[in-house]
Parts: sequence; structure tokens; C-alpha cells
Amino acid sequence: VSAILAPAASYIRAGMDQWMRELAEFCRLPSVAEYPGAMHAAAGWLGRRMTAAGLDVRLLLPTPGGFPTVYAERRGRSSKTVLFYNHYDIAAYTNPVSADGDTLPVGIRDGRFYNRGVADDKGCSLSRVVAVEAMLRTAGELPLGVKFVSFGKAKPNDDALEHFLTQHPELAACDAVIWETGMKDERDRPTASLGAKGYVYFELRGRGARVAQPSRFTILPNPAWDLIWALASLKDGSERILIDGFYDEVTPPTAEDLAVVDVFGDALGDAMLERVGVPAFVLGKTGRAAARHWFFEPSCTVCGITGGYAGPGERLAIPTDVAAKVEVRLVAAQRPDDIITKARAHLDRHGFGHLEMVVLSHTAPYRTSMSDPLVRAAQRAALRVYGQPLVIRPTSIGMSPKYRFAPRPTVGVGVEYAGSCMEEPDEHIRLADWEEGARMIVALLEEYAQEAAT
Amino acid sequence: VITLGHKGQLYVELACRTAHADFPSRMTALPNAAWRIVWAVASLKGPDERVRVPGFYDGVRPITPEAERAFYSTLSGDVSALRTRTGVRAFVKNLDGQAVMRYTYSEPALGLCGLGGGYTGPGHKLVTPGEACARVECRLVPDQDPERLPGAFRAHLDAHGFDDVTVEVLASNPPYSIEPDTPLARLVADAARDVYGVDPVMVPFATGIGSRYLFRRHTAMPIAGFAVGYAGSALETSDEHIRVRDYDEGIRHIVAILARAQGLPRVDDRGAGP
Repeated sequence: VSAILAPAASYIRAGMDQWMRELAEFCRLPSVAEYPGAMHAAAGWLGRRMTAAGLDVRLLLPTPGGFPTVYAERRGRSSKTVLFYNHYDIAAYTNPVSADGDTLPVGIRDGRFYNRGVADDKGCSLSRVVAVEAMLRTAGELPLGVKFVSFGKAKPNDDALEHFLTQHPELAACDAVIWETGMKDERDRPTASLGAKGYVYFELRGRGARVAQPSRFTILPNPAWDLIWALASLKDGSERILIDGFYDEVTPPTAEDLAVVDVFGDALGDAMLERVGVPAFVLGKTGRAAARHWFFEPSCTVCGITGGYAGPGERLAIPTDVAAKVEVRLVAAQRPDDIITKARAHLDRHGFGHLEMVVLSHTAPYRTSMSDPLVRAAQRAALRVYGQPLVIRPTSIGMSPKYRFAPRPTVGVGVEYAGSCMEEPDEHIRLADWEEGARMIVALLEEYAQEAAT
Repeated sequence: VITLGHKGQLYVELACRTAHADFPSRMTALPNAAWRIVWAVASLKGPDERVRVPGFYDGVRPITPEAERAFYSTLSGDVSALRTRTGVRAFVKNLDGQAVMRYTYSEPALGLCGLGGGYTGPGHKLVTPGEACARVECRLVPDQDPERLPGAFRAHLDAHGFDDVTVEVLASNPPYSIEPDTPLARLVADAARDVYGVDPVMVPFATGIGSRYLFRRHTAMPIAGFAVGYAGSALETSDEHIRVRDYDEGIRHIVAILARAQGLPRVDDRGAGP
């Protein structure tokens, strides 16, 4: 069975110094939209590295953000094709990237590779190229076809993927998708995510008098009260969302789904609470119950609320403009447009027709079936590479555009770990994890080719 | 309009802190300070405007037949100017006409002056607020006692499971009012008739807060109030103004009061009031 993995693993091991030198070149480029030169340089670097690995490469332009989409492919023995999804821009959702001149620092010490962007997602990107190169150099061919698509997003909600899928459907065609990221958890167990949550993010706005009126005019309506009552009508203290029909399209987790999240739940505890400084999970849940709630329950979060005066001292005025930012996080198979319609109808029915609901963003959730051949292949591959079972997460807790590839299965595996400090100054990966991640790709392709053949 | 007192006030901040700081909203199994504040504030009052804090209405003077005759029967029912000036679509509880003024001059109210928590800048940010607050203002009528209310709020919040929501008093002023048949009230009203040629509108208290209660605390002197503004004065807005004719009349009202003041009984100003 391991005709492919063993020699490829040796190839990867023997070249580690070189791969890390290469990764350093890639990682020194501050590839964020604020440094357009570095974005183009990163795309070019990645394309050349893929060519060197033996892939047919194209830099696709134009794109919505102006930076090339790096596309590469190589046929294999089987007609099945796996697509790798990655990006060469550096994630900057919470903290901006600041370069020293036009170079980002790279530090390799204590078996770790420090660099802003190495965990999300450059380390993962290169591990896959090296894995495919190792297979080609040692076996002379691939067991199945591979495609690489790596985006250079200009902003978090860049529609580069949407553009790629509509403009190049023939390039996007594949049987399965291997998504970016999949970290080792707090107990150093490899994890893989099979899906993502979706969300609807909206702002609820209320307006009162044209000019702020003194609060002594107790007869005047107060939009801050309306906002409070409207929000309280959306969800109560039981965390149950009160919008009619909200749960209609939720896919209940299967026994298999619950079992794997229970594994995660057994590791969920005080460490996480302490890190955030929170005494308890909602509803006093712990362990498995908290994990099930977290992964499978859609949720409604007030992300921000503002109105009137909340600064030092007192100001006696009725607020004129009030607003709340509300995030409704969806699970498979809720549909954003359906939830938007139901939320608006809920507000109207409860007497809040005068509150404005402005949808700022939304994406759909997606979940790959636990019994998909791709998932089984990943589980077997993990046993071979890590010597321990893959901890499967039926869905990630965040959003991603995985649903764009539906109904193709997606599995996310990667090279980072729970302590990678993503988007923080100490962002890093461990070299050993990177090497295992590259071997995992080899094993996964080998196993999936066999699944596909049977 | 002659005011025989003023409303009282209790201005409190309700605050909740659930985490060190805001954290990513993907951690949906962790508590949210903004929801705690939303639910806590919503528990205080519903759209019926009835305050649900037990003990809140303690001490509210019932409307006596004398008060009905002196105050409420004479209130104006024309609220179109207020509606136009503020641009509001309706008044609370959909009140209209004289009921608007009756509400203003008889009901204590729970206002909400400020809300804050989490991300409120442009666009969207996926955070769960670690802390949030609300500024709640009670407008009190005689003889509600603002000193008793913080305890009432505390007990209410605890009873509803909001022991994580703190109550901090930022300001506290008791209400004050004299009876319409006190000699001072009668004198000011008579003087107004001299000047304006019509019966003045007597209200039990001004809608704003004031310091009259301090005089009551330290002396027995009764207090009545009147001024030179009018219903359209647009107080505390950039258009705040008075009419010159009202100003002139206001001065003459003072003169008329002083002319009649010899008839007032002397008050022992060393004795504390009730």
C-alpha cells in the first residue's frame, strides 16, 4: 500500500533545509494589498516554484482585486482530480501587516518557523507543492490528477473565488477539494474540518427625533428602547433564536458527527475559558455539551451596540440614532437569503417595522458528509502519517467559501497547531508539523486514489 | 405655566463585563456582555412603558380631585407643535391630545440615554463584546424616593438572573412639589391673572430636574416656578429661543407677585420642611 508514501517521505525529509530556505523566500514578501509589488512577487514566486515541481502553471488575470490567481495542474494515473485551495496573501482580518521596509522578518529557531503569514497560509501552500514534487520525483507520476488554485485576495471579502469559478469553470472542475488549514489541537492531535458555518451580518438601525431632545420629554419615543426590545425579541436567555422558522433547515448532526465533536468536547475546558477570561460557557454547559452547542447550534451575536451617550459623566438626552450590529451564524443547511427574509418578517410582526435592517455581509454554511470517500481517505492517511486518528470537525466554527464548491467534498488539513498565534506578532509553525503536513498530502492523495478506484 | 415643583431623577449605569476584552464571535459558546445588557434592560420595561422593577412606583402621589381640578383638567391637548418640532411619528403608548400632557405631568418614566459595547464603527467586525453598558434614567414624580431605587434595581436584576450586571448611581435628585392650594401657589396664580388676563396653567412639577428639594431639606419655604419660555422654545437644541413679548410679560409677572407678596404668611425659615 505504501508504495508511494515511503519514498516520497524520504524525499521530503532529505530536502527539509532547502524547503525551509524556499519558504523563507516566500515568507519575506509582505503580500498584502498595501504592498502590491509584494503581491505580484509572491504570485510569481509561487508560480515558478510550482513549475519547478513539475506542474503546468498559469497566472490568471484579470481578477477583481487586480492580483493574479495562481493556477497549476498535473494529470495523474486516475481520471479523478483533487483541487488544492490556498491563498498567497497574508491574512489580515484582525491585525494589519507592517513590513520592515519591503521585507517581513523570518526567524527559524527551536524547531519553529516564525513569520507573519507562515501559518495562514504560506507554510501550508508550499507543503502541498513539495508533496506533489516528492511524488513526481520518486514515483514518476501522480496517482490522480491535481489542481492548485491560490488566490491573492485584495480584501477579506474579495470575490476572487467567485470570479474564478464563473470565468474558468473548466479549470475549477474537480472531484474533491483539499482546503487550506487544519491544525493540531491542544493535545497535538491532527484535525481536519469538513465544512464551515455561514453567517448573516446585519445592522439594525433606529432613528428618533430629528434633533436630540432632552430626556425630560418622557413622552417622546426612544429608539434605544425600540432597539433593546427588538434585540430581546430575537433571542432570549435560553440562547434559542425566536425568529419563526429559523431552525427549519438545520441539518441535525448524525451520530457520527456528534461522536467526533464529543472527542473535541472532551478536550474543551478551563484552558480556553482562562485564555478569554470567561468564567463559563453559555447556559453553564461544559465539555461535550458546550462543544455540541458550539459546532452544531446556529447562533445570534450582538457584535456591537451604540446609541446616545455612554461616555464619562451624564448626558440627559434621548438618543436620535441607535444601531446594533448583529451576526447570525448559520449551520448547514440554512440559507442566508431565507434567514434574512425571516428576520425582517419577524421584526415587522413584532412591531419593529420602523427599524431599518441593513445586511452588510453573508455567506452560506457547508458540511461534507462524514461518510464521503475523501473523509475516509483522510482518516486512513492520518493514521499512517501521524500514527493516531484524525480528529474530525464536521464543521469549522468560522466562515469560508467552501459552499461554493458544493456538492464536492472538502477536507481542510494543514501544517499549523493550536499555538500558532495566527495574525499575531509571534505567528509561527513547527518544522516537524510542516514535514508531517507535506507527508499527509502524499498519503491523502494515495488513499483517495484507491478510494476512487474501488 | 406655573410649576409647583420638579421631577426627581435617578441616573444609573448598568454595566456587564463577561471577558477580558472583546473576542472573536466564532466562539459562540461563550457569553456575550451585550446580550446580558440587552436582556437586563429589556427586563426593566416593556413597550407598554410600565416599569417592572418592584417598588418603582412606591410613593407616587395619587391624583386627588383637587389636583385634577387644579392641574390636569386645564392641560392643553394640542400636541401638534411638539410633534412637528421633534419629527417623531408617535408618542409613547400612542398617546395623543391631552393624554400626552397628563402623562408628562403624572407618570414617572424610565428612559434610556445611552448604549455602548463591542464594535460600532463602519462596516462589520466579527467580535463578541466583553463588556457593555446602558445609561438608564428614572424621571421621578413626588414622592418617589431615589435613595430607595438603586436597591430596588439590584433586587430586580438579581431576581431575573442578572447578578453579573452592576448598577452604578451617577446622579440622584428627589422630586419636589407643593400643593396647589398653598398661599404661594395662589398668589403666583393671582399675579399671573393680573398680567396675562387669563387663568394660568398650573402643573404639579416641571418636567426637568432641579434643586428645589434642597430648600425643602433645609427650610420650610414653599417654591413655585415660572419663566419666560414657551412651548416652542426648543430647549437645549441649536434653535433654543424665547419670544420678546413673553420676556416682557415675565418681568411684569414678577412685579405683580412682589406687589401682592405682603399678604403672604411668614414662614419660619429656620425650621426644616417635612
